[in-house]
Amino acid sequence: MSQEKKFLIIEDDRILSNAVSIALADVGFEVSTAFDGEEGLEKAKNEKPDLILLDLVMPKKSGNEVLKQIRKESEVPILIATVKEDPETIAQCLENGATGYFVKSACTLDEIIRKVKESFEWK
Amino acid sequence: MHEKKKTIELSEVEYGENFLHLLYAPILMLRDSDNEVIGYVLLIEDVTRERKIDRAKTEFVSLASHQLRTPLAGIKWFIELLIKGKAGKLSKKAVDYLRQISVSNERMIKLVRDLLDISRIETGKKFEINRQKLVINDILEASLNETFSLAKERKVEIAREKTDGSFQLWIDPDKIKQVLDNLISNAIKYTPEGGMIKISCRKEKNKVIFSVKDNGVGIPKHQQKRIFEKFFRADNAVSKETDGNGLGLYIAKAIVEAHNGKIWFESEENKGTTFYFSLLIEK
Repeated sequence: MSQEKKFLIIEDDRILSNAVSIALADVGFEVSTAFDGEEGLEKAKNEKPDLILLDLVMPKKSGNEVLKQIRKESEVPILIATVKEDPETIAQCLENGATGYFVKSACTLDEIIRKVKESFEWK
Repeated sequence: MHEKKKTIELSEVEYGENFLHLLYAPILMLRDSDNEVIGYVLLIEDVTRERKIDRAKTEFVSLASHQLRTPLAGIKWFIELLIKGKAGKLSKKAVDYLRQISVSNERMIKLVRDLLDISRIETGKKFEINRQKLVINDILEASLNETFSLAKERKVEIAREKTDGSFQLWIDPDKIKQVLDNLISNAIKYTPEGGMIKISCRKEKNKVIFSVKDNGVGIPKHQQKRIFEKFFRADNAVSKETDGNGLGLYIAKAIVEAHNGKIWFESEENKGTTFYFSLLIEK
């Protein structure tokens, strides 16, 4: 995997965002962060990341709204980071075009990095 | 003397113009000393308020659990970064302490998951099952790996009896693993040091039957009926092991039943318990 891949984390919890940023930067990603849905959408358009990690419950715009809008113009892999694992939530994300998802408290950072790498292969 | 003919009839009826009330209406049959029916008594109780409180409680648990997951993930991930030395090299003792924080944190994560499962069952949304084709061996291996360190810590041996685990099932792997994890970790927790746990699965007609057998404390006979109840823990379980919330078997039963399977057990106090569950082989 190229070392210059750009990664956008759209997550309103700064602590979680920090942890993932550190782990991804450590394996060679160039990481950018957004802390609400609107900022995330703007950065997704302007920065053209190679992969996006997207939270669902956020201020200003929900993850699902952001997902739908990005999908109108881009096929960038989008991994959903959620605290909800009910089938309705997951089905809705996949229907809206998410590449994959993970439950935050259930995954280690290593597992997230593995999912990120799988997402690139999927693309 | 009277006996119950029909015990529970729960119905939603319209009451007044704008309100839906829930009624609990058991019918009791009255008999005289010759056993002749001499009449019926219909009891009607408005349980709207109780149901509302129940629903509010379930919604609260769900909301609180979701809110807990975010900080728990934060703790989990920063522990991982520290252990990996991302903030500088740590002493062995520091790493050991962090691992202990991590064990506590994982317990909390599991508890939150259990509470969310419960609130899902309680709101009447049956477990939805995301089925995949899976080889039995894979799921057994995953569960054994998960419970290996607990068994080692408790000095309990786990043996896998000779099984034909090569055939496939159409199941939700995460949920069935959750059932196996629960049964195996219970067996470990309630078996004394030096004990032995045997795990097997066998094919019987169109079913696969899993079993987890221990030679632990067993379940007291008078409490066996209650073992799958929510929050129930047998007296000898509470005295042997403080770590336990009484949710594991309740959730395991809900998961197995959502797969159209069955779960049951045989137990004798101070001799041991065997839990079984069956899953249909669906083509």
